[in-house]
Amino acid sequence: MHIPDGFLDAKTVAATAALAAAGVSMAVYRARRTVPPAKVPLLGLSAAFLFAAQMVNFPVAGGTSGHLIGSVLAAIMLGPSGAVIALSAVLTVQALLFGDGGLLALGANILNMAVLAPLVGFALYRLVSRMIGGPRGRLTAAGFAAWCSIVVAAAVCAGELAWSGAVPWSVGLAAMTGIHALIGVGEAVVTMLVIAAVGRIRPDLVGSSAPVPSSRVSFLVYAALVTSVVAIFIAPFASRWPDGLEKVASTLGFSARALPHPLIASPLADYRIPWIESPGLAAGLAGGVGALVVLALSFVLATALVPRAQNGR
Amino acid sequence: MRLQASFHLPPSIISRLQASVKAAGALVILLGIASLPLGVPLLLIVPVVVTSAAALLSRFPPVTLLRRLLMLEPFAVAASALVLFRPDGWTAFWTLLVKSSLSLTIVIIFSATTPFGDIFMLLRRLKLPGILLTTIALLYRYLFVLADQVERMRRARAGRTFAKGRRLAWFLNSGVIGHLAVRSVERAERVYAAMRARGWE
Amino acid sequence: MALQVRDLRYCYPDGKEALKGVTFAVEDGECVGLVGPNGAGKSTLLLHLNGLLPETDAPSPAVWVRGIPVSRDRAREIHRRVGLLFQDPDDQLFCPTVFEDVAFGPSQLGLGEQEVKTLVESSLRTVGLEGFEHRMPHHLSGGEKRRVCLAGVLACRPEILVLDEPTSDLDPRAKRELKALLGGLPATRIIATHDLELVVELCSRVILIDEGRVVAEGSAGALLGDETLMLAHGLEKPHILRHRHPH
Repeated sequence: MHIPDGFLDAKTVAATAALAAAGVSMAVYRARRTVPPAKVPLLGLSAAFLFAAQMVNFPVAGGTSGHLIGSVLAAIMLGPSGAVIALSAVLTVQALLFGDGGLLALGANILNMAVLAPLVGFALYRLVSRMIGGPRGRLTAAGFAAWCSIVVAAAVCAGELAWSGAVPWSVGLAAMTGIHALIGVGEAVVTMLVIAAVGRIRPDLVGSSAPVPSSRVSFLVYAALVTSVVAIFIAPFASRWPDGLEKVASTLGFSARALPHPLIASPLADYRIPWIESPGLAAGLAGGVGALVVLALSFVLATALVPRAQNGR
Repeated sequence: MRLQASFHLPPSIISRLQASVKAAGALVILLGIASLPLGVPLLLIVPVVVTSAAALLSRFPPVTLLRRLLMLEPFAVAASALVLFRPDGWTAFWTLLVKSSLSLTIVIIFSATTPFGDIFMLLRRLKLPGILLTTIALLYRYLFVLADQVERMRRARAGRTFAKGRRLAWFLNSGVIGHLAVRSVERAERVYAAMRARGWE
Repeated sequence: MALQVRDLRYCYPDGKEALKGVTFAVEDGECVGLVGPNGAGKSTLLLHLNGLLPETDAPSPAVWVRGIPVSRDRAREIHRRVGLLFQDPDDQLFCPTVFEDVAFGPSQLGLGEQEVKTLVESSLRTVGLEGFEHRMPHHLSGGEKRRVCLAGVLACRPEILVLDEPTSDLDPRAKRELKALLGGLPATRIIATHDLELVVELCSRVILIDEGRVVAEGSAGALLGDETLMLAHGLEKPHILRHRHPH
């Protein structure tokens, strides 16, 4: 999801850079308070680890391969602030030295993958692991959080591209979230497998206690940041979405309303779930259904991965 | 993807410039490219000229430059494909691709003419927070060590498997990443001990 | 007396006993070898000699460096006097360039920029690596990395040098060079190693450790030449002693 240069216009570069700076500053502030000196080298080594892990190929269909991003993995092992710092370091070095991701786009990339993804992921991880409990709950939460973090980052990425006027919102959102809903499954699976592997050797690294004590202030600040990002990059387009989709449909040469009588009445015809009027809400529900499916699948995989003796503890 | 150790060019007019000058110059050019509207391809002539001049002045062997560019292109092409849905689809696509490639070239030239130490000093002068700087320094130091470790572990595991298949590869590679995670944590503990032993508080 | 260890005991975090009452002393200027099978507790013992272990203060100290008891609040002094060379140079060489790494110790001690520079240059000269200031660690060979680490330790001007497996992973030439280097240093040296030839060549005294205890102490020739003792503790009589005629 590294955005190259040339896609984002000046105002988007400025806005994303400012938001990314805010997120990283908050993380540094928290880290200074909560990361003991003994753990400072861990941030650097973890950053190197994440970089190296991102290079490992996971074969997908037909010669292509996918890669782990590791936002949620980082958050589980380092805590949210540590993860923000480590991931920001990775993205910075990738952009400056390897040309992976643009320089101007670094703000946006850090915002999406180093701030948003680990924060959203960690929040969901805590929520779900408390709901289900035990090692199985933690694994399920890890997979689900990993998927969500990728999809949310992709949605905001689409918003940034739309803001720049480069890619129309409807297309961008559909393409980005669609593709990353699939990529997210890979991320979820690998995150779960890695956490299970680490848990077998050093359970203390992925254990039940949160790596750092939580603070209400930092939670509120992070929540405000995430909400602002969503408000800026996604909300404005949400109302325009059905129109945008109509436009895409007419460009592609057909209009859903033009279909006389569908042979089989689709419950989702006309982009509306019959008893729900707002298309935005319908889209949200579709997304929600997808998320629940991922949650269920994560639970299944987690059950398979955790030895039976540990379930219920 | 094999990690190439930092690539550096022979000394040139560009490489002799101060890191801050190079960085500022690169940013100005990148902003210029970013500001060009997508539908007007002719305006691209300016950045094309500027970028070519930079490439020449930095004594970048054209073939190497092209090869590095091609390595990173696929994502730019895929992302540019999203633009096809605009009314001015194809023009926008090519303009975007050219903009993206030119920007990438500028960054490649910058990183090939500036050693990491200079980039790091520049970041320090920009007053990036200490904990972030330490993380970046350690990241750079141990990146190649860990990349080698990953490669060795992967080869060792692959050498012991006789079945084929994607699912197996996923399990294997995840296991390798998991082991790498543990070893990295353990190494971090030893590095901390080494830092303390030489007086770090 | 440079270093004194009296009834040192230590348990790992998981409860396993690593050191079960180690006692020995080292005089100024001596070069002492510490030998024993893997798992004997050598590395753990070394970490106690410069105060890195124990993590929390024991009720009474068990290690004295020049009369100073090793404890948390005197850690800084101890670190200054005892230089520790780690087994894996990659763990100790953590800065992006050789200069920065060798300069790390002196900078932490609060020395001025010019003084640090002088120290770095002289330390690199001592280990035979002049001109290496701007090299990067991952471009160095194993032997070069070890020597940079040694330079980094020497730059702090310690009175006592503690070395953990200094010749492991080195090719024969690098081993020879390092041995010559170590032999010429004036500081008190304590070397934990499997390289028994090194011990015979450099060390006047040898301490044999097994299962967390001191099993035997004596001159290199006598202790390492005792075949029964060596075999009983997972070692063997070094070749260099095998073919000595008893004249």
